[in-house]
Amino acid sequence: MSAVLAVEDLLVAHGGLPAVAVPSLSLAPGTLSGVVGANGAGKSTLVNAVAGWSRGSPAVSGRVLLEGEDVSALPAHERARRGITLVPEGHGVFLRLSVEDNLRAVRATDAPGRRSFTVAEVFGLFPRLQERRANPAGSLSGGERQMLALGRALRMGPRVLLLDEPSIGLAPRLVLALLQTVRHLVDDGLTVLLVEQNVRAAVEVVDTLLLLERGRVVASGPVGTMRDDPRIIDAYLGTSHG
Amino acid sequence: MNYLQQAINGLVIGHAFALVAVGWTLLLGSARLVNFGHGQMYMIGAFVAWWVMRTTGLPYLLAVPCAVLAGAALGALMQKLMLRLTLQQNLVSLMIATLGFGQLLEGAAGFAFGPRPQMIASPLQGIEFRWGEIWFTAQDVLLVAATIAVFLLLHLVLSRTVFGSSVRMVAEDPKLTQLGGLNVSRVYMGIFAFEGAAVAFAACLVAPRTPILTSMGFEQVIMTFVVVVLGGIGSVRGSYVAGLGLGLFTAFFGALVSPAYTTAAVFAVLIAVMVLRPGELSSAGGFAR
Repeated sequence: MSAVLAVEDLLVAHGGLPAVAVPSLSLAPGTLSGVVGANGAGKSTLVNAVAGWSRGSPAVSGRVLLEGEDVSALPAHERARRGITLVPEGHGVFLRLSVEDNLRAVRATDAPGRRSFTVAEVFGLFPRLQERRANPAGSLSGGERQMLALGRALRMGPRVLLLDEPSIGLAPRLVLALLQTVRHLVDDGLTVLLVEQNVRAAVEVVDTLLLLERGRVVASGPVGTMRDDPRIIDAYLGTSHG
Repeated sequence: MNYLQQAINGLVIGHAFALVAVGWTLLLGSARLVNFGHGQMYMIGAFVAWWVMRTTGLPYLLAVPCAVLAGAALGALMQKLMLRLTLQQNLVSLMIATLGFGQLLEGAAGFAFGPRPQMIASPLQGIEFRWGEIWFTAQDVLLVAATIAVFLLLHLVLSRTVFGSSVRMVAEDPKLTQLGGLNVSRVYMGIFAFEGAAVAFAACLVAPRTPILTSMGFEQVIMTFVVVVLGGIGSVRGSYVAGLGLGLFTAFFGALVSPAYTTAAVFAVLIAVMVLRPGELSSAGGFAR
């Protein structure tokens, strides 16, 4: 099965210092892949580089292929239009805009083969957002903001959805609900790359797992195999898991 | 003193201040750009209208859209020159760049239009309305009505349209805006072009009241700066209220004390507000309201 997204020889450096080096990575369609690792391992740097986006000015080299097309030279907004949709760490919403304006302001697509959620469909997925549609996003709770960020992403009809630490700051119950929602979307055909520090929660929903340490992939494979990897067990799951 | 006449003068001057400031307010609120070339852009707008009327024989009301188009083009040129600095939010460099841009405009205008004062001959300036001891012109009526229309239109565009949402997103977080598939450079292009068009429009309506000079930009930028800051940086509604307040203050201070010290008094007010109510000058939550 051809990959929706492939990364080749990706190198990212901040201020001349290498931050991430990933020789290859590919996402099969309709799969949920998890990226785990300690703080500073380069997880966010990796997904940001795939999206062509950063709040800093990193030096990025290598190739990013979206359904076989090289998008490495495209700026972030062009990659977003083509279907690489990033929800960045720390809630990707505009705090001063209303919930509804947040959803309406993204550039939805009607390109063949892509499914853009309508605003009504997002409200159907997250009824809580409909109740608060006129409120500024800044008044939402952390969980609601994360729903809104996900809703904005779905409005764009992603070919591949990059989720960077969606569980940060959320209560465990909300983390589970959010990840289950993502899992349902994947079961409906969406391809997702999930960066997650909450490894215990992540292994319950992902298909494959990739472990990053100091910017390098030290282990990867199907989650069934990876959850027995001693590095995962020792660092993230503890010996009692399973 | 004729208080009612001073109030009318203040309202007219206030609407002039507000209209001249509206483009800068949007630019400051959305791109955080302190445009010290704003006054020279005003001057260029006035001189383009004068030049079009003189060389083509077009009437005043048809010269206005020509000047507005030229202003929009000037704003677009400014965006091209300053986009990188704007995206980097290199605010000090931007201030210096706009100052230099203004000086370039002033030099170019001096070369093209000469050093002599000129008049924009608006037929509306000669139509006067008198009731007893009070009077105003049709130009004043047009200025007040156009200012209110521009502010209402801008408010509607910002609060009700997708482009308005784009501007508000860029104002809050230009980086995050990119992830919504929006080309931030294009949004900035619209904002800069509006700044240029709006200040040229203001020049066409305000400048017929007095002779125009290629050196008049600096004086204009000083008063506009006060309006923009007093209004709450980036607040559209605030700049309208501040313009109006400053106009009334200017009219009454000029009549009661002396017009010679008006600029100094205006800055005294600005400093007092900044010292006593610094929070009022924040743009947080005020933009597009």
